[in-house]
Amino acid sequence: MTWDLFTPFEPTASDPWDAAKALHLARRAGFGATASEAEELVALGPEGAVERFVGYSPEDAALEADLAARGGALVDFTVERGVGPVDPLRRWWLYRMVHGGQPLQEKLVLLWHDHFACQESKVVRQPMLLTQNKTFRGLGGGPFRALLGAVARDAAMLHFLDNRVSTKEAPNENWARELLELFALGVDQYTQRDVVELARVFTGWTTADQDGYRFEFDPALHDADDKVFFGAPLAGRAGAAGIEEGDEALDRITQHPECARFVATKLLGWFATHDLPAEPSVLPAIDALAEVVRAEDLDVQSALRVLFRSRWFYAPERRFAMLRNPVEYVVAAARALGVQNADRAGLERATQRMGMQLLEPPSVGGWEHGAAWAGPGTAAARLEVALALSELPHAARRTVGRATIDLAALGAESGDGAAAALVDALLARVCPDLLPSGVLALDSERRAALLDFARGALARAPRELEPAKRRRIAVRAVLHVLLALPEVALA
Amino acid sequence: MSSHLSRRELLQRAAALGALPAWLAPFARAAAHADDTDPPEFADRCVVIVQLHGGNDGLNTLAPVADDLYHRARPSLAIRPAEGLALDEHNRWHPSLVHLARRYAEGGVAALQGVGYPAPNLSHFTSLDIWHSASVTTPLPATGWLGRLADTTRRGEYPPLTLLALGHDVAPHALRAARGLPVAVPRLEDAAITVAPEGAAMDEAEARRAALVALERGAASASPAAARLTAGVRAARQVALDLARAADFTPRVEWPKDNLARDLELVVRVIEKRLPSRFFFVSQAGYDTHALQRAPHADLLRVLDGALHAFLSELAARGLSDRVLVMTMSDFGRRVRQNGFGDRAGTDHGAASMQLLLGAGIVPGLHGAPPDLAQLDEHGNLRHTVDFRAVYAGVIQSWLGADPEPVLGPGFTPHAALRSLA
Repeated sequence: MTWDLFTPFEPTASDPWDAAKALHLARRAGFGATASEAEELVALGPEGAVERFVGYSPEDAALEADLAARGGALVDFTVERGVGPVDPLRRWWLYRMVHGGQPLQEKLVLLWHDHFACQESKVVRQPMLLTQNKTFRGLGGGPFRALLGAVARDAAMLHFLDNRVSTKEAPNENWARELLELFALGVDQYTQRDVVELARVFTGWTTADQDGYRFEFDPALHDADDKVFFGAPLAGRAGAAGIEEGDEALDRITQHPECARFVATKLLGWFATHDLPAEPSVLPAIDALAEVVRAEDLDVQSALRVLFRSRWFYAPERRFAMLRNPVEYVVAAARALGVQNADRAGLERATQRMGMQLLEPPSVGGWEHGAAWAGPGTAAARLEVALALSELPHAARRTVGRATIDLAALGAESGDGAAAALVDALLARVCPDLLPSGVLALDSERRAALLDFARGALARAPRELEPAKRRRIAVRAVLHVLLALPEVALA
Repeated sequence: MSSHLSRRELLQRAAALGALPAWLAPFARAAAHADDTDPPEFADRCVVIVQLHGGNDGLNTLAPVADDLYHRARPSLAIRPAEGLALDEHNRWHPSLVHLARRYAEGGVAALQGVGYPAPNLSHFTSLDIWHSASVTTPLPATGWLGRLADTTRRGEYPPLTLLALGHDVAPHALRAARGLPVAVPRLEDAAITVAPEGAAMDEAEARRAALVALERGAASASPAAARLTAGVRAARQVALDLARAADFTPRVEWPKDNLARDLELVVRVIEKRLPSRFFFVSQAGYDTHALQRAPHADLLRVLDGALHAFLSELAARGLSDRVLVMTMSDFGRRVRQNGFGDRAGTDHGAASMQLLLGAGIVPGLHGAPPDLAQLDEHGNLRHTVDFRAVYAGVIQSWLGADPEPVLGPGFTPHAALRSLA
């Protein structure tokens, strides 16, 4: 068994379950943690900490209650296609990522959006994409077969890959091909004949657009003749039974030996390493996780539980080896700062500026990750976003309902106001690993530069202002340079 | 001069004055760039790739209207002889390609037919990887063909702007290099780096800039990913400085208002300011026309036609025409037989297709064998008669005076659609 690679991490005196490991887990399974959140995770022990992320339920009750208290849904589709300042779905989604208590669920929703990548510019109507998002929310952590079945019936997907116009006279290969190539198996696992036959299988899987854009199987459009799929007969069925063909094909696809490996590779690429799939050093990990995924009947949460518990996952070379994608960076920063009313903070524009506009992946293949986010364009944008976040309004009575950060609370944690205390209080929020006690403790030169800057920021604030206000100005300046640190963009 | 200038404004003013303030000196470098190993007569030459993303329907771009099989395969989608624009007795241009058709008639366009590669598998992603990496054998190289070209023709750490993608968030595979860092810039204004809030005093801006730079030092040691990030930030600062110089520009011709035109206009700015860019990449999305193809495809080609026309006209108006070669590329062509009926008709993924070369260095006219619709492959797609790497070899050797072999491997003779200067 290659399972051995994923034997659970067991703390020892020389290799304890510590803040460094808890922070690593939080960066990968969520959007990072502050120093005090890391302390809680340490206290829970490795198993409890992993469960804190993995053991989520599809319904985030606390978040729903919070949303209900805000007067119901944030989504206002009176403007049907959100652009510019009115962008209801992206804001709704980012609100959940920043304020929700189930970060792994959010990471999975983002993963499946990246995986089953649909573009708003083609789907056009945000209500369809809202439905799709809810599907990822509900099924994204469960068995892959159920998720795939729901995506095959997803109106946005049926629009995006044209299957809604695929008929027995003119089967359209778009969905059939991407289902095999991008969504479930990978290129080279099927023939062009399989694509053609699968396209015939899915004829009639369409949408009722006059009726809320819901899925509809139309027997009149379905090709009821027999097919051959993966080298075996697949009986054609007429009438309403025609829909069973698609489900049978989905069964065959998910039972294909490569499907578990495909899902495992996907999960590793999102949560563990960018060195996929070509890097020989990760091949054993792919093999091992594929076995886990197979043994768990393609159940995502179960497989992730094994991954996040494993010794392999906490190896030092895994740490800081990934680059946060723009959404992860922006959400992590907003959570670290405790942004209030995140739906109004312009975060959707920040991720777009950095090259990752939600609901608008560059193609059906989703975004490129890893080194792609280290380029100069994203770097310039990240510096600008760091500045913009540090310039959000300070929470005060007159800013109720607006996106804010509480500069007094952020700075107050530093006690007497000395530069070192201020810097450490903010590091504890933004990137605890850089604290003197952290695994990435700043070297003396960088720490001196940071302290100098903080002292200067306190000194430069206009003297005519009251002390609390001068202090808030300094907090902003320090936050700006901290959020711009390259380490903050690592996962 | 007000003391409340943002860094962006400062840069713009500095660029306008042709001078940089002293505090920017650590980033400044000589604008003139040595052209490394380029033979002198090739030193100023640029390549502009225009990617028609999604798989352009070559048969409806350069339509074989005299071929009955074409009309039979596409009863509602074929370009009818009367609507197409004159090309020759056998072919017509798509009606949207007004300027291209005229430029072709005037000897300004080379069109290649039957371009492809062996054993296509009809995947967008595999096919683009092949076109970008210029390899058909797996595992495909991580570098792209233009990246390798830069690697083999430039010495040392060449400037980040050498390989430049406009209108892109992330540098495409074609530009990835082993030694250099390709740059992707969505829009000109996105390249600037703001280091202080609007209205901040000069000393505040300077303090922040200094702190940002000082703190970037040392960050690279955290991990290889951190090293990549810090290299990206360093390059971003250089790019911001370089591109600030391109802000000052007044077009001399009328440009359409779309993204492709915006990106190509920026190419002219960069060339005109003699920035170190040599390999440009721009894209136009939307060519994956599986269904309802007719109207959207006409719109796409209209945008392409207008943007290319403005681009070539602007270059001509500035005396820069002889420095620029434009080459289109796409994932693949599309299935010969249409899919669906009437207005719903579209086309599934195909194989071999056509390619356009414009600008300097071309041998105008039609190249390659006409598509043979009677001899399709087993999936109903056109077979290739020209390997795309021969076209690349022509770009590398005939246009740029470099050796194709380190980039493409052995065996690719430069295609005759590029004028050999040897």
